[in-house]
Amino acid sequence: MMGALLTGETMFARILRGILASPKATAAALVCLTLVVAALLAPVIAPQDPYDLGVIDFFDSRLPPGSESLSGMTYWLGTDTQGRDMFSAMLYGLRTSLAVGLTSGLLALVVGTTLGLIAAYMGGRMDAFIMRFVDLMLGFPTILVALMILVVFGQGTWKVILALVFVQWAYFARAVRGAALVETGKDYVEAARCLGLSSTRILAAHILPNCLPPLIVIGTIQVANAIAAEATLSFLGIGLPITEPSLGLLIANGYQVLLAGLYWMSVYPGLLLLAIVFSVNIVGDRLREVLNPRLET
Amino acid sequence: MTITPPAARAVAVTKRFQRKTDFADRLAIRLGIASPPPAVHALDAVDLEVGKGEVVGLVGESGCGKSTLGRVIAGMLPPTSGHVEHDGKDIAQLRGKAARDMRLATQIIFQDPMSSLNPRKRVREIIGEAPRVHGLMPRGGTRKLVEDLLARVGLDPAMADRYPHQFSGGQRQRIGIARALAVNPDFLICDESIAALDVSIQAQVINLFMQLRAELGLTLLFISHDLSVVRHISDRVVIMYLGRVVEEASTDAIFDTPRHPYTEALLHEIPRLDRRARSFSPVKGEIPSPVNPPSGCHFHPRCPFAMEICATTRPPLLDVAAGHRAACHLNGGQGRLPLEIQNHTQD
Amino acid sequence: MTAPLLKVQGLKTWFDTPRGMVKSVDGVDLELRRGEILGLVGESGSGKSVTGFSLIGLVDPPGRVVDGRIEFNGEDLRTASPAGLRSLRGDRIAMIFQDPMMTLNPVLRIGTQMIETVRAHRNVSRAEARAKAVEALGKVGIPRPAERIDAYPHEFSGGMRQRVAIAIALLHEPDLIIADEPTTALDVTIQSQILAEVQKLAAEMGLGLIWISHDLGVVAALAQRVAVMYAGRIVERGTIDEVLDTPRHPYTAGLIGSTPMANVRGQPLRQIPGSAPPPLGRPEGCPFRPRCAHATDICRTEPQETLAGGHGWRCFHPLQDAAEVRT
Repeated sequence: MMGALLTGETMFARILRGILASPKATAAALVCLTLVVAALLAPVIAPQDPYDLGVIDFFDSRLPPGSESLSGMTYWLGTDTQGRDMFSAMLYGLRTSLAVGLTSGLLALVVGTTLGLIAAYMGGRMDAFIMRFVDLMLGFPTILVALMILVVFGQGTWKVILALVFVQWAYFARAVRGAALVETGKDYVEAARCLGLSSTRILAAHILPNCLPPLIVIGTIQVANAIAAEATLSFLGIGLPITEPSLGLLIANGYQVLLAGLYWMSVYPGLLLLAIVFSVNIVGDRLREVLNPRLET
Repeated sequence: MTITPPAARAVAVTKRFQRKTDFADRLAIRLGIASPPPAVHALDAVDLEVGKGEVVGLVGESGCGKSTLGRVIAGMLPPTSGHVEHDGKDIAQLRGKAARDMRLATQIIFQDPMSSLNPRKRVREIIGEAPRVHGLMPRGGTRKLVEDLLARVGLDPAMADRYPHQFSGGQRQRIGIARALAVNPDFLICDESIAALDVSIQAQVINLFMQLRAELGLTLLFISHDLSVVRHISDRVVIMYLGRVVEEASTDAIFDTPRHPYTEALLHEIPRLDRRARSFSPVKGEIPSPVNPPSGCHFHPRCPFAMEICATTRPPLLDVAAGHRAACHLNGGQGRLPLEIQNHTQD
Repeated sequence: MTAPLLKVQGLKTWFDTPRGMVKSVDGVDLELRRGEILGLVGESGSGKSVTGFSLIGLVDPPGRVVDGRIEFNGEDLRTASPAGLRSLRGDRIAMIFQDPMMTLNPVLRIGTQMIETVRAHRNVSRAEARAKAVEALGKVGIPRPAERIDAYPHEFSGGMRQRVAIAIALLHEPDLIIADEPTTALDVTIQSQILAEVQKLAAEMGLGLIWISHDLGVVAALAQRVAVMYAGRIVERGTIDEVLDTPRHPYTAGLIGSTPMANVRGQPLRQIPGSAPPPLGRPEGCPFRPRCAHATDICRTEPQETLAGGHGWRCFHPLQDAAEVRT
């Protein structure tokens, strides 16, 4: 009965109630929130701007966690091979990772939802065409396709985002098409047609709002996937440029010295990445339970 | 003297549903490894007229095509062949404003109260959207229009800000009716609008339909499988079987002097509380599928009076009395005569 | 006077939901004799289906039979062990559902399922079980039963599937069959066929049948006795003639009065105002009070059943003049 609508409740209230009812989801949501806020406030909370070459001291490189700098600042999580404070680098890295993940997720949502709605509502050849394309996209491993795109078009932040959008839109399209097909068969859509409402209005104001549950769930999980995918690409060296390191790049940089015992350069960014991806997934999982249409009255 | 055209008229309407073939299907069919998808013969050369201000009851069981006919007459489904007229004008020829006016003048009240209202919209928005979009708003705007309509259909206007799931089935049907009335239709097509409701609520909604018809001068096409309800509310009754009209007459005539064996069978099944411990003597056989209808008269495999001609030739819909038509080969096209009349003619 | 086949007293089945305790069945008394057909009539939310499920022990958590005696052939089913109930179910008591696909497994041939049912309760060979199944299919009017027994449920039409479900119910010639709206979803001419079969078989086998329905007309034609349910209670019961000709409870009279055939053509139908209370919002005392034209203050207390011969009703102001409700 958990997902059932209480009298007069809005979708947002229902989601909130659902998350708060599960201790695991509440904890995960808090972690998410903390990390997002931390990333947003990175320029404020970071003790050091890791990209300001004037502040970095090369002689402070490879210091273990807890070491002190000559200026009295504590390197809580150590420094990397360039002398950057790991804590600051991680905050900025998280910021970049989240930005790329959210942007590509959002764009993929817009593209995928639009195509999914069109496919469901128009049916016939348009539906067949779009869905063949979706099948094609879903048939290839995500990283492989993104890799190929970046190899062909070169690196750069926006190129990475577009590559991620290209590999993700199909998930949204498929989910939305399924939900939209169900809704299109319902009488209220036919009633809207009978009342002379335009197709655009019906799609946007009638069908789309009823496709939100799967969209929200997939959106949440896809953001996590995008963050992880971007990290993978950066780790492989084809992701974001060095000037805007994400967590993936930090992990890659630290990887070179990992076996020498300088664990903090890889492990801490790795744990942070794990934290954000894991908590987003748990929240997404909980949302899937809460928004399950079979539980709706 | 000018004769007012009927509110709606279906002329030789045929409707077939067939799954569209895509490139791969067509290739397979051409190579002979697949057969063309089966066609559902929903309607077969149906003529129907609904006069202005009339209530016509359209009755039949599954597969008879009554819902499809309702949609075609409403202009929501194009016929495969034949045409539909509203107020004497062919609706397929209308364009622009005339087309829009036609669309709004005919509204459908749907069967399922659970899926006929958008669950994410408040009642105010559900009812008020169309008039607002089409610029039909009176002085005072949405609020007043919605509240007036809710009161007219017997609901508390204060409930306009609620969501559909907060209402019962009967109340949702009323909201659906208010939504239809919001665009000032002349013609309502009620597609099994009370079938999903409890018996005591059905009475309330039937009374509402009758009241609205009297107050607003509406024309009603009442589609139902329930002859007892149709008898109560209709001026004329049309009986359909497997895509064809088998009989049509005034309500009294259908009930007093049915001329088709299928009509008789349906009349026999009307629940009457005074028939206790009765033995059922049903019509034999299954309702055939509209994908593969029987030859000649569709009813012949189940008809207790079937003759040889019934299997080969489709009986035409002929006048058997004033305003009474039946499609049956019995008695030289007169259909099945009730026993008293039969005895008289044999004198 | 032979002992009744089924005697139910004070049956209460409640559902513990997050929103509160839903009292679907709240004090139901029923009696059924061998060879008798009892119609259990009510609208949605009245608790008639849950009553049926309670009798056969198919109520799942969060629902529970919290009180009452269910005496079947002298034995109280509520105290029976799960194993004991399981051996009764399908053998001595059978159930037919509104949707035949609740009985039929779509991935099994109907023969497989029927043979399995036979051998669950009798120690017979597969060949014997098959022969019994073919015989049962023939009895319910399935043409060419020896061939059709190997078909899958989706190869049958809705009406035929329901006949198969009935055949399965009849396999062990049970003493009691509970039928929960089995013909509601069927076309009127097909419904008539099923009702004819059921009538014939009930008479032949002398079994007790509880026919749950919202359709008074079907019950009038089929049953000898009827019980009318409202908001979890039986508000009136008796023989068909007693209840339909001289209804005492205003709800019964209202139901009868609102059927179109009981009204003058073209005039507004006599209707019961308002709607049934939601399961969690039932008024105290008589649940029909908010909709009743005869209600007074005493109706805020629980009406007990008044019994006159076999005719019983729960009302402080039973109707005396029944002339106006004749069809």
